[in-house]
Amino acid sequence: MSFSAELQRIVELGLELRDLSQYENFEAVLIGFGNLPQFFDTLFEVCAASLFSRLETTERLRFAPLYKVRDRQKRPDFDVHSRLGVLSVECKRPHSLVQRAAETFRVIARALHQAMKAVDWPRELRLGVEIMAPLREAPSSLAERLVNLALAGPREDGAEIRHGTVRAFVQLRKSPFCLTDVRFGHDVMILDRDEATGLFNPDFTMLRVVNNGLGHQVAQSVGRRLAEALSQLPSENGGVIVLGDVPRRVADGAIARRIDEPAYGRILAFVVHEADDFHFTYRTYRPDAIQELLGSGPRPLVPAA
Amino acid sequence: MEKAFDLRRQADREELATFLPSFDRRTIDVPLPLFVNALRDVSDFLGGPDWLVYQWGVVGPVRHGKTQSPLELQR
Repeated sequence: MSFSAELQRIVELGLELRDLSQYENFEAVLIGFGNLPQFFDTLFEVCAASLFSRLETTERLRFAPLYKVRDRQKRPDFDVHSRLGVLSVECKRPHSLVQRAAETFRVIARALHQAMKAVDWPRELRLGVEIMAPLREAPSSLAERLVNLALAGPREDGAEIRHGTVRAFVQLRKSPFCLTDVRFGHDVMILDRDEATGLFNPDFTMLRVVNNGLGHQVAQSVGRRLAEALSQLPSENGGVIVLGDVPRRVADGAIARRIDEPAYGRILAFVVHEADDFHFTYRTYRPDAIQELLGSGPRPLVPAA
Repeated sequence: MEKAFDLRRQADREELATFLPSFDRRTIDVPLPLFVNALRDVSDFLGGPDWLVYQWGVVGPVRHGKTQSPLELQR
C-alpha cells in the first residue's frame, strides 16, 4: 500500500515535533514513524499531543508512560500534566480495514465514471448506484457491466437494475434522486464537468454512488476502538479518548451510547478530530474540569507575525 | 509541480520555499524561515526517510506492505 501527505501537514508536523521534542520520552513517538503501518496513527497522535501541549493550563507532557492495568503493563499515548492534575490520553483511528473499504468506495465511483465516459453516457440520463455489501468482482469489470446493463435496459425513468451486491437506477436528469439516504463520506456525486451547481442538483449530476455497507463497518470499528482505548488507560488518572478520521456523526453516536456507561466513568472527555478541529464531548457532571483545562483555547501552532 | 524536491536537502527546501505562499494551487501561510526549518525538523526527527519528497502536489508516497506489481522488475 502507499499513501501520500499534504505539504501543509508535513510543515505542521515539523512545527509540532519541534514543540513536542522538549517533553519526556519524546523518542517513543518517533518509533511510531519508523513503523510504516503505524505512520498515520502516529501522525494523528502527534497532532493531538500538540493540541494539548498548546493549552495554557498544560505544564508538561509525558509520552508512552508506563502503568499497570489489572496486572498488565499499559502505555497510553501520553499524559498531560496540568494544574488540574494528570490526564491520560489515548488516540484512535478506525481500523485499516475500514480505511481500505472507504478507499475502495472511491475506486468504485471512479471506475463507474470512467465506464460512463467510455460509452459516451447520454446527457439526459443519470445513473444512481447503491452498494449494499462488499463487491464480488473487480471495480472496473463491475462498472463496465453495470453501465452496459443500464444502457441496454428500458429507458424508462427510475428503471432498476440489480447486479450482484449492487443495485442501480437509470433516471432522467430532471427527476429527483432515487437514492435519498444521504450520509457524508458514503455518498459521491459526480457532475458532468466542474461547474458551480450547489449541492444535490440532480440536473447536473451524471452519477451518484452510495455505499450503505460502509457506515455500519465504520460504526463497528469506532466502537471497538473506544473499548481498546479504555483498556489502555490507567484507572488512577482521568482519561481522554481522541478519535480521528471518523465522520463526526458516527463518532458522536458511538460516544453517546457510552458516555453514561459505568465502564467509561473515568473518561472525562471524548474528543473527535474532524476538518482540522477538535470537538470535545464531556460528562455533564464534570464540565468544569474540561472547560478549565481548555481555558481560552490552544495557542496557534504558527506564531503570529 | 513536476520537479521533485528532496526535502532532506537544505537546498531543495530553500528552493521550494521560494514558491511560498502558493504550492500547486494550495496556500500555506507560514513565514519562509519557519517553513524551511519545519521541513528540516521533519527530516531530522524522522531520520531522513526516503519518502520525504515533494512532487505533484503531495509529499510521498509512503509505502508499506506489498507494493510491487508482479509485472514490475524485482527491486
